[in-house]
Amino acid sequence: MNLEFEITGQNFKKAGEASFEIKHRLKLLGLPPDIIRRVATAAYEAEMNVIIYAHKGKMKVCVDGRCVDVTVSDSGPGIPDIELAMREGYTTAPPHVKQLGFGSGMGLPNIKKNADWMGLQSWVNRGTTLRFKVNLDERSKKGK
Amino acid sequence: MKLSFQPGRFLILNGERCQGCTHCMRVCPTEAIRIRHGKAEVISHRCIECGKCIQACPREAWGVRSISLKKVRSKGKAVAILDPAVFWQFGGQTSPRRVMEAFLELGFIGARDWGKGLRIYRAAVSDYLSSEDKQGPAIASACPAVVQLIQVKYPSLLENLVPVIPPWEIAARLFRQIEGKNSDLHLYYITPCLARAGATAEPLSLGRQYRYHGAIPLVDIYNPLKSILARGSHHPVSGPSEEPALSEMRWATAGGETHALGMGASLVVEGIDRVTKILELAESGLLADVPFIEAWACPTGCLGGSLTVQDPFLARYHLMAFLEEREVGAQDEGAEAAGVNHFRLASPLNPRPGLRLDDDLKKAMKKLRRIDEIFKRLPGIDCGSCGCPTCLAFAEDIVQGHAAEGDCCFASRGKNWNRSKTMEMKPKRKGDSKF
Repeated sequence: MNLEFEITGQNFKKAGEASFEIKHRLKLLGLPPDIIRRVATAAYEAEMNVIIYAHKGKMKVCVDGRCVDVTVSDSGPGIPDIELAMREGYTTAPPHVKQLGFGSGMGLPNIKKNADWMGLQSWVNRGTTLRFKVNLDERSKKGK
Repeated sequence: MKLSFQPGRFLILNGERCQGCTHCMRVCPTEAIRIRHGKAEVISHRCIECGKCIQACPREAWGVRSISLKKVRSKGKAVAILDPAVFWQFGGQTSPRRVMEAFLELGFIGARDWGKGLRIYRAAVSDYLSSEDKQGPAIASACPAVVQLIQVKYPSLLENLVPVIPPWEIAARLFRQIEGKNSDLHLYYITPCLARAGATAEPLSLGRQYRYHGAIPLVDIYNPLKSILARGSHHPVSGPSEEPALSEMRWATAGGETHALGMGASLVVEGIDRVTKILELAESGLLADVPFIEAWACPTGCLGGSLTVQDPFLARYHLMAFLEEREVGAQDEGAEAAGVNHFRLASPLNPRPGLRLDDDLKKAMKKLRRIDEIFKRLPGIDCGSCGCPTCLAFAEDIVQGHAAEGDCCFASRGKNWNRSKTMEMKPKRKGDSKF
């Protein structure tokens, strides 16, 4: 199953719609609740990153028999230092975004925590591509 | 997966009154209603007994399986346990004690509120909230429609539900313990909503001996009660054996549980649509900073139940004014902490198949792909003429073999029909308008 969503930067009113829709689809597939919760949490954080930092982006979801594979790519400012960005609490969110209660520096660490695999590529001033996977197989499941 | 269209446990449809008008179908929060052959039907495994359909129906076609008052009284063994919402259905001048007396005059040999059962429930919930290491917010489990909503649509939140036996079950258990096992009294629950009618019929935890004999919708006995209360002065055979606990009356309203637990603030959400939104956020891990969610399927809480009579906001005013006048504060008795562990649910509640398209993942994915293909061909205006609440639900029904694409009244127009033209509502020239 493949899904694709457009995400518009700065549109906080619609924040979370793509990840809520993904969640609904996974429920239709009858995936286990724990998997759905982890995908939903990670997808929401990824979606918010695009809304907070980028102009626009795309979220692609692919489900096969083994895993849920999510790719989020945006055309935004890019991340100069990925290692730093992965640290809990580190953020470059502008003040007006923080005022809205977003951008606390927990997004990327939270994605890593919920995903079984995560990869991040970024080009400064061009954009970022984030990909993460959550395994459906019980044995390769990450503990809480 | 086969869908079963069956009547619910308590929800029933009067086929003669139902005109297939789609009012109920549109408000159902789990899309459990379809109009087939001109009548409403329920997909039973999706129904959460919130009672929205009952409230939405303009012809009172939806109703609740009930027991006749005559039958209840005939054996002279009926004891009524009153839901807190029941006390506030009769206007501001009627005290809770007077309502209990009216039940005795009506022919019940006993009338009680949740009484001590509620105090135990409160203590058990408090104990759980303070003792456990919990992931995410705890969700109150006193509204059975919310519990069922989680079972059907948000199964990952089942572990967040407060695992305590509901107060009406504890009340029944205490009653039986006091009366002794051999007592042949019949317990009836006076319910303000469909969900609690269902919940009292199928207890979550306790043995059969604690079960209610039946649930009586408040709306069904409202008229005789009201006329007894309107008669004014009275001489009941005997008063109620226990005074109603005024300090616990706030349980009838949203926020009542937070108040009873002595929590300063918690997230209180009322109305099934808003509850859905909050659960959506909780499921995505966005409410990590909220310790407790008190969720009620009906606006104002149980006072807004689907089987009540009084306007819920007016009833809430009467309740609050009554407490204010008598300066009833928070609960005066200390929590009974000893032995509250006995009132925990032994095992967590099970999810229900709810939304799942197929038990087999590969088949489910295939079906989902087909749903998307079909959906793209549909007009997307959710007109409801096909008998499904949305075009998407219609596509789902087609894939599951419960509908045919030809049922769509736009399908016959072929691929190239122009929606904007079809749906043109503006008058073309001056004077063309019908309105």
